Amino acid sequence: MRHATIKRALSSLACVGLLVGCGEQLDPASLLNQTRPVGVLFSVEGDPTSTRPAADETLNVTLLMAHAAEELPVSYFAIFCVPAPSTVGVPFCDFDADGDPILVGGIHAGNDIVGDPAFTLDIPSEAELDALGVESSLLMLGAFCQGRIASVTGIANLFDADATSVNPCSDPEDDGAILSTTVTLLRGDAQRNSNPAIASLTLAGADWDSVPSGTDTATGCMGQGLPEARQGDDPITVILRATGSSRETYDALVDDVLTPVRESLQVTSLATAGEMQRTFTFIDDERDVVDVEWLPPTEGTPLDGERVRFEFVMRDGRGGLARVRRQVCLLP
Amino acid sequence: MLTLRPLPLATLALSLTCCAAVALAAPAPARADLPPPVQPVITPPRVLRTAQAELPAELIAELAADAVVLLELIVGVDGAVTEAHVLEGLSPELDAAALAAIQRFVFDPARRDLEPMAARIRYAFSFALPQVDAGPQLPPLGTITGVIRSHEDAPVASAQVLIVSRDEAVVRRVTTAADGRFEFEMLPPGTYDVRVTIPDADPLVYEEEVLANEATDLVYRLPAPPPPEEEEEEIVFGAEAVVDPPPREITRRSIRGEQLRTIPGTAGDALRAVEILPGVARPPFGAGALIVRGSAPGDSEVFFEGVSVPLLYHFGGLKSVINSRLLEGIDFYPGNFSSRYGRRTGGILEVSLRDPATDRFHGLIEASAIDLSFIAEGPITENFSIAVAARRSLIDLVFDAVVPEDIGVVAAPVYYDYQLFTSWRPNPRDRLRLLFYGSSDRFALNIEDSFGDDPAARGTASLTSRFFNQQLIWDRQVDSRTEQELAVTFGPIQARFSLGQLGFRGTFRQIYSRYERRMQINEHVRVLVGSDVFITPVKLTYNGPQLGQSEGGGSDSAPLAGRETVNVALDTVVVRPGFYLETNIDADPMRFVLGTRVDYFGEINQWVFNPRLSVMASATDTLRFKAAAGMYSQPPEFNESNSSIGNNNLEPIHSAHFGAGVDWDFHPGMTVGLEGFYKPLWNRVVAIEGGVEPYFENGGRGRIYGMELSARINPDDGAYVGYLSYTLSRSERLDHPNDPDAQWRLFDFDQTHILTLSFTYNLPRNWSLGGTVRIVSGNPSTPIIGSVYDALNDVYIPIDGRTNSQRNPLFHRLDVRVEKKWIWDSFQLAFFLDIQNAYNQANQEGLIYNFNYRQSTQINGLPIIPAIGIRGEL
Repeated sequence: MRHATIKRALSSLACVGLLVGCGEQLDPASLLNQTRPVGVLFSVEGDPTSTRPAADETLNVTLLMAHAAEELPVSYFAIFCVPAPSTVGVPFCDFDADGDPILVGGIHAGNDIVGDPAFTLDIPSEAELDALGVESSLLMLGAFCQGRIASVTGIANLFDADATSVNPCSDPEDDGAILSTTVTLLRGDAQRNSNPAIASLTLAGADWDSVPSGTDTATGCMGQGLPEARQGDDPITVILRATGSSRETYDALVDDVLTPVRESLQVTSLATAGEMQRTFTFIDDERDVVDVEWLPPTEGTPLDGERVRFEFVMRDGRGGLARVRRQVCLLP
Repeated sequence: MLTLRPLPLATLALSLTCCAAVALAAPAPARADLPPPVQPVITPPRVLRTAQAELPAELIAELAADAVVLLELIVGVDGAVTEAHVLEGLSPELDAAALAAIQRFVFDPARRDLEPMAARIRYAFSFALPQVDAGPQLPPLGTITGVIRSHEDAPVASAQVLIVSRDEAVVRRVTTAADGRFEFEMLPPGTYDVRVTIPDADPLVYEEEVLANEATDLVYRLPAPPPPEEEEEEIVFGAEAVVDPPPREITRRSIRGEQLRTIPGTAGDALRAVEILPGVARPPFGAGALIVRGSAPGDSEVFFEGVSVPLLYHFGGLKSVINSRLLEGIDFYPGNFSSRYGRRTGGILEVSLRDPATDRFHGLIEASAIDLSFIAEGPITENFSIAVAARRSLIDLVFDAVVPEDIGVVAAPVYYDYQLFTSWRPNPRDRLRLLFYGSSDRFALNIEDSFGDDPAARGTASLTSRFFNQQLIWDRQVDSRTEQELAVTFGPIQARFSLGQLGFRGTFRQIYSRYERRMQINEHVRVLVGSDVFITPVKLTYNGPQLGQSEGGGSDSAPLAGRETVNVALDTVVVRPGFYLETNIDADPMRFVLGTRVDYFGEINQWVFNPRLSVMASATDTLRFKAAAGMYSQPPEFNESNSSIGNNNLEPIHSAHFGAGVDWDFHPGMTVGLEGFYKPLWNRVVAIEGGVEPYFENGGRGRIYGMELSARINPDDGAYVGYLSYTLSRSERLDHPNDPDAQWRLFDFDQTHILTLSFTYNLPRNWSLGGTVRIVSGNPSTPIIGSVYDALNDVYIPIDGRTNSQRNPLFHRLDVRVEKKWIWDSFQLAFFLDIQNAYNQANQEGLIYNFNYRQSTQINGLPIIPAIGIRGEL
């Protein structure tokens, strides 16, 4: 499809087929026009491909950030707690008898961090986990802001019925966000899991290598060794391959029977300009590569070119994650 | 005496002697200081419908081309010939034939200004083929036929039968034939008195309704003679007609016949007509949900000939699944409905079917931009008639061209429905109707990768729903005081929905039966007793997120990705028997209806008892007061009470209905009504916070109150019809009363003001023009105040603000319908244009958000939709 993303096509289809009038189009998720999180990378110390720590192990945690232009410093905080039972809505911590959330470890926080914020979590011993009532997972709740974190109020406000907005940042206009994810522990029936890896990327059939160092400026990219594209070009095909071991096999309940199944890898594709054909694509039993088109912008490119940043994040659905960044020099 | 110029009709000479001329002959002298009085315009009668004289062939051969019998007629205010005699005849046989034929003529009555009046005219009846004045339009007419029988079922011959209009004008007079039958054809729609005079007996009077384009067949049965010891007393005849029982509900709003199909904005869909009635909220996006007096869509029910309909609309609201031209009418009960109906706390919509045509075969083909349909009907024998109809959508013919190429079209959206209705009257007491009807909707797309901002929205997206019902209805006039009805319906319902690995697949084999007996105990007391049983074997599988509260669930905007899924496989039987008893006490001018209903809800093993009372009082012939109170109960939704994904210890949901009002027939054909209502709800099913076991609990409360104003203008001449309805109401819910922070919130579809004005005018030359204006408060909505990034699934989970704490802007819309008919002797062609949202108002129905819920844009309702169609009718 040449001139519209799937989302826009379906929106248009809904307008015609379902006879629903639509307002203005919203930015697609694939448009990277602000600093935002793209995932949380877990890596067990001493076993860097593993995402699931056992008791007494240390987990390296990295908040992966993506930026619309140059990398901006961010502030963050994170806590880990025993998750409350829930099947709908926003996950939250379970509470103890005093009404306090059952935390595991302390508060992890930092200000003005350039690059992806990273910290470690020491997993308690088996006995301590049992005492806290941990089964096989911990809930991570946190937040990041481009300015300062206001406090944990943003998170506390989740349960305030009268709240009119929930923003963890001191500046209400801050593009910060509240984060959550789950850390699966190697205890009980939990199975091992490793982070997947991206084997290769091609752009219009050619290898698309990582960014040369020292060239990371917003404009003026002409002749700096980046793959080039011109505004108004036809869609350009990006092909992403995962390493052979990325799709792990694990046991899952299928019709109440424990059955070996292979992971399905979900790939998120983001670009700072133009349109990705789809935000989410998959590598599964039917397709062994991701094949997604990028439609360059049609106007507004400076004479010396514009650097367009791409983020590709691969997830295995079980906590494993890989991320690569690429750039294209867009010429008028 | 005023004589007007004869009408310029080619084959007849007509002069008019106006009965009302006396009033005009001596006008009051004009005062010098006043302008002279305006003389009224007198319009003579004009022939609308003629009839040929029936003559033996040999007489026809001998007739001169200009053979004319000069008659003197009285044309009544309804256009019927009430008296006729010969002034200048040709021969006894020809005179008699002319008199017989003239009785079947229909005139546009004489008028003083616009008011119809009776007129005496002279009419030259020509035996040549008469021609009809092409000027005024033919209003739709109806027929009353019937038979008078003795208590031993023997036909009563030579009884005089008169049909008298509301203003006491004798419209027609006949004598029953040897088989006791009588017939009045070509009657303008309206209410009439049928007066039966039998020698040595008091005349009997029955009120009957003539419906446009319909034949009403009646049986008047004389009662048994009094016991021997009373033989010396004067014999008093009683009779029973096969007519509707007296009203049981204080509020019944009906729309019948052609009006159902010509209301602007419904695209000719009869069931959509209910949306113009007071008490009915506007569903969003033109969906087919029935939202009655602040109750959730699932709290109301639609019945088709007494039996619950599994599916009402194609694709949730596109078009109703039963051809509108097979329907007789709809009766809508917004509250305080009869004990005949149970298992619902909202309102009831009863859809009634007309009998197939008995006079001759008829056919109809209708084509519009979205579908094509046909109807064929007619008599097979004298007592057995049949109607067949089918419809198929045309959307799939263009769908492939619209869908983006990398979305595989597995099955383009297709719907079809079909009906086969038969009616058999083996004898005057019985009527057996066998109905077969069904519907199918199917739609499937294959989306390899996810679309939008939800990675879980991928795979094959498909929707299939179909049902096939077989329904037997047996009406029997047991005796002069007792009627009974047995209806049995069974048939499969299949529903499938899938989106990738998520989906629902269910087969329901609904069996529904109703037995009802209506007895006139004495002059004042009528009793209704009955039972309806709902039995449904259910097989279903469900694989998807835990289902939440169906009403008051907030923005419901969360992505599917990351939501915990539940897997359910069920094979069970739902059993819901119900029993009801209702007593109608007529103590003129008061009428009391006391009802009770007992229901058993098998899936939760609970009984409910619902007492109900209605009181109606006629202050005058035109002014009626009414009040009612009653209790209503319904079971939880199936998913709420199922132990796998719900709580099978739930209890029934209850509501009390209180209502009071007044109806005033302030002018013939014009009625206005005002009614107030209050409905508390308790034991509502609400979701447990966090969606954890047992998932649902009783305890939610509700309160609904408001008033409804309705006006209906529908003069007997059918020149125009108008409806005005205004509802002022508030509907609120309290979900967790025991939570100290709980607050009352608005109901999902609370609409403070609902104003609907609909008017259709029948113009000359078979044009009709109508419009419907709706002004409605916007629906409440739940703001999204933030979001949480779910790093595991790369989606944002929305955070809702207070449920339904904001409201969409005011909704307003104009719908227009224009129709032109060409009518020939045996064929009718119609062209129609139905424009919804004529001025293309962008009415906001809600908000949609971007991936992280930081941006939003409004999502609007239907844009301007012109629907053009053509219909041919034999």
